[in-house]
Amino acid sequence: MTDVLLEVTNLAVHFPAVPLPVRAVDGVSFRIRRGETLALVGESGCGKSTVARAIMGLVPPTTGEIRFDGAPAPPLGETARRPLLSKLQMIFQDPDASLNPRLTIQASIAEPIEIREPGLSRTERESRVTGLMNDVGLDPSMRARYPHELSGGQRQRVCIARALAVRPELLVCDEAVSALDVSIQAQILNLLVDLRERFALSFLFITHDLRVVRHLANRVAVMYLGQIVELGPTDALFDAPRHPYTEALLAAVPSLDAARAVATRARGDIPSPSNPPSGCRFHTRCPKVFERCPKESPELFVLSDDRHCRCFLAESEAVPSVRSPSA
Amino acid sequence: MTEKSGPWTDAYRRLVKNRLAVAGAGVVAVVTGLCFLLPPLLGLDPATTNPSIAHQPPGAGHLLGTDGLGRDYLARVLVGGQTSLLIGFAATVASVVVGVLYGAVSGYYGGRIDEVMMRFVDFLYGVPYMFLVILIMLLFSETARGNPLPVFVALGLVEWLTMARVVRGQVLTLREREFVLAARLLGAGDFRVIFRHILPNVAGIVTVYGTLTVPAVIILESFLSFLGLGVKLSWGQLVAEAVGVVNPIRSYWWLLLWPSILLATTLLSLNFLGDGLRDAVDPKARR
Amino acid sequence: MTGEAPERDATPLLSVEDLSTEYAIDGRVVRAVTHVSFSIGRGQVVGLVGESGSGKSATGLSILRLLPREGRIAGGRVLFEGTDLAKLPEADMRRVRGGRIAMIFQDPMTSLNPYLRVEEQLAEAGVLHLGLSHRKAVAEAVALLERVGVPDASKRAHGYPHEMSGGMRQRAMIAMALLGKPSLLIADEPTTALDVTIQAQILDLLRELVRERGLSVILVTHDLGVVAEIADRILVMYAGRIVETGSAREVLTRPFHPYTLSLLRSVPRLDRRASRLESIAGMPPRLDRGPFTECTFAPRCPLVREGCRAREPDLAPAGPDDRRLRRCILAPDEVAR
Repeated sequence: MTDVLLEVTNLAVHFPAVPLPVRAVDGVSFRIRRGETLALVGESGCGKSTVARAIMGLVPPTTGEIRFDGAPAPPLGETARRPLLSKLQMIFQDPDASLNPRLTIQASIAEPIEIREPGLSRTERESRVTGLMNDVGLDPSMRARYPHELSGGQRQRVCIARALAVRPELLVCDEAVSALDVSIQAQILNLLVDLRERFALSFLFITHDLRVVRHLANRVAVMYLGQIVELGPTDALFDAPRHPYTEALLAAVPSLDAARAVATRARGDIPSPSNPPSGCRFHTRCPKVFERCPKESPELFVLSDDRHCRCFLAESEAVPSVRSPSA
Repeated sequence: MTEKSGPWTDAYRRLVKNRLAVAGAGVVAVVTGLCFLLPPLLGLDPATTNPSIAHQPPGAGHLLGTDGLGRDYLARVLVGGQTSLLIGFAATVASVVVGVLYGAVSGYYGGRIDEVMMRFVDFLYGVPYMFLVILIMLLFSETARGNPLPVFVALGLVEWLTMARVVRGQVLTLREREFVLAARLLGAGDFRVIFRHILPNVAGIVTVYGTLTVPAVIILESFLSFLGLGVKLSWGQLVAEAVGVVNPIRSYWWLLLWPSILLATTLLSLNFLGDGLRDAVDPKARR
Repeated sequence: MTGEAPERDATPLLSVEDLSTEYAIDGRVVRAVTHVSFSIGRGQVVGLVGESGSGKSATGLSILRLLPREGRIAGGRVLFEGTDLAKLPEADMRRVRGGRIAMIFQDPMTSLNPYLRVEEQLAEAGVLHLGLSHRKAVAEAVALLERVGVPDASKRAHGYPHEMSGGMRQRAMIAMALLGKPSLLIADEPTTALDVTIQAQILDLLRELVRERGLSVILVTHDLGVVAEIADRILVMYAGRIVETGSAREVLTRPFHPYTLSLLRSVPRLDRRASRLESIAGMPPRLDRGPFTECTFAPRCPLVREGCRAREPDLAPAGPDDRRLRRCILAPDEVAR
């Protein structure tokens, strides 16, 4: 039982396409320790969802390594993946599409139990499901209902209950609250925080909403066009971002209190992952761009205080290190 | 809590609101009932010939008249209906079973398997239908002519192709839906995924296409009869015979009228029912 | 925004009076909007804020009479430059839409016809509403595309919507809306589908346009942050009713209605981590059960009292400022807690 639960090293996922392959993930490395919540943030095309799918085995890596609890994590379909199915689970963004419309809530939540313990009697299964429904704040009397009779928030709770049934150690949440109304979002976030404490869960939380990140995550990795551009503890990163893209993201979050930081605005549109800009991929939009940027690609520099930043502006602070990929 | 509301009950409710569909279902039920129940109940005999009363118009004793060999037309029309309907439903069931399994496997496994399987379907699509049928007829010996089996095989062979394509398309989409991914991530094997998650969500469209296949088969069979390749006694066969005796001197209108009416009515009703089912089952109609 | 409402004109540009809108669904009547009244002056940005089912979108659509077949305006008036839009014949309404009042929507992908070149669609407004020749209208369109920040405007205009990114398409939509020289723009969740950095650019753009052209904007959104950035005044909607109004700053810093307060408390903050987010238990009420005999928020309200269940409160001023309204029997300081 090691301290590091998930280790991703130089992960790259390229999808074949014409005329150029889509380099959705292009050299991503990070670690998640037991009990930790790492947020993966970024906008369209940054590759965060693809990272999630690669970790879950739904998409095979083109290059790079994914290790869970020390052992390699092969893609879904290979027999070596089977034991991992109980350790990693995923909550998807769209609560509508995440539940089989033909199955009752009871059937959906009970499925993993049925698969693993086919010998259980119906009453035993039902009582397990009751326990799970209570855990996620659902009224067990709703077990006979169908997904379309439930609200978005309730459906998402069902998905969480289903995932919990296998007693996972790591929960990957792919924009799990993005499709919900604000007040419902708050309910689900509170629920996740509760469950994290009760069941000692670790989270990989994928989102584009930085406000949620602050509330939930210990550490944040900011992604842009397939790469991590900044990585560090949440509070430190939010209070003093080092990468111009992180600054632009933070400044762009609309709020009454946000400072009028128009100078930090990222310009123009997000480039396509099949044809990323030369040198530093952010240079086409960076408000602080200078001549070196289009020519060379900065590496993910390790800064002195458990921070990483992929920007020449931070190079001077970099702690010289062997190509160490993550904190 | 008060009303049960599953995906099937919702679809059912939507269906019964559609008057045309309900009417269609009703008509089909009535026609089927008449064809199968009336002959044994009334002791009707489609086969006994009696040349002395040949070509009698409808009247006492023979409600629908008699044909060229003096056979009771009511009996022939009803018993012919049995054959038409039976072929229609049986060939449909066969094409559904084969088409669904074929399409599900092809769509679910994808890749090379899918390519090969679908090329085969494309190939069969390209073969001229009549050519196939004649080939099959020749394969069976002369004595089997008029027997429903070769016709049934020929029809089944053609109809499953469409079903396979439709199902494959649906399966390809469903395969990437989050609830299917979730099931696989929870440890579900291929069998469970296909039979518990994918096929039940395909059932709706299969029902619709299946219902629309029945009239298609009946028409095909009628067409075959017209060409002289059909079964001994069916609506299509009766129509073909009726057309065969058209002449400028005497009109035997009843020979053409009754089977035509029944054929047309049944086909229309099945189509209304199929359309209604499609509207009832279509998830886009669900808000 | 400054949060100060500009000097009121003698006649506001748009005055919605007692608007009610219904939808007939499955034999039931859903009251999506109930007795909504507000006005907007020139150069003002009003934010219509609420979650799903609050009636905010329905209100916007009602103003332009763009309700779907099953919807209809059940009562009230929509006075625009003196005319009641609710009673206007459809032919006249068409002259208003895209001309004096324009609307932009959430998903630019479905607002632009994928089969027409961008300049064609934009030029349409010029031809229909300004009586320009086709050539002049296209020139106007390209000029506007430049103004809204589309790089390589004439090339983009000559191309098709699918060749543009989401942000660019939304800019094109704004250009299309502006072509008819409207005095009022209704924006229904214009940035919800966009990435955050692009959203910021679009909001910057809207702010500039308001300043430059004295454009009035009704911004329909669920995002409190977006209204904070751009709106002068906020109308909070719940269950088809307005439950609170006031300047943006006032409503967001000192809400007078428990729903607004709960909503603000359930949004996680960027500047510090909260130990627990306040969430609102339960769900919004059904709107197909006829008139309410109690406050619509009562079943979920953390501050509910006896009197709340007696009847639905009126939308009334909280103090001397008759533009600071709330639909609640509690006194303002009771809500601020």
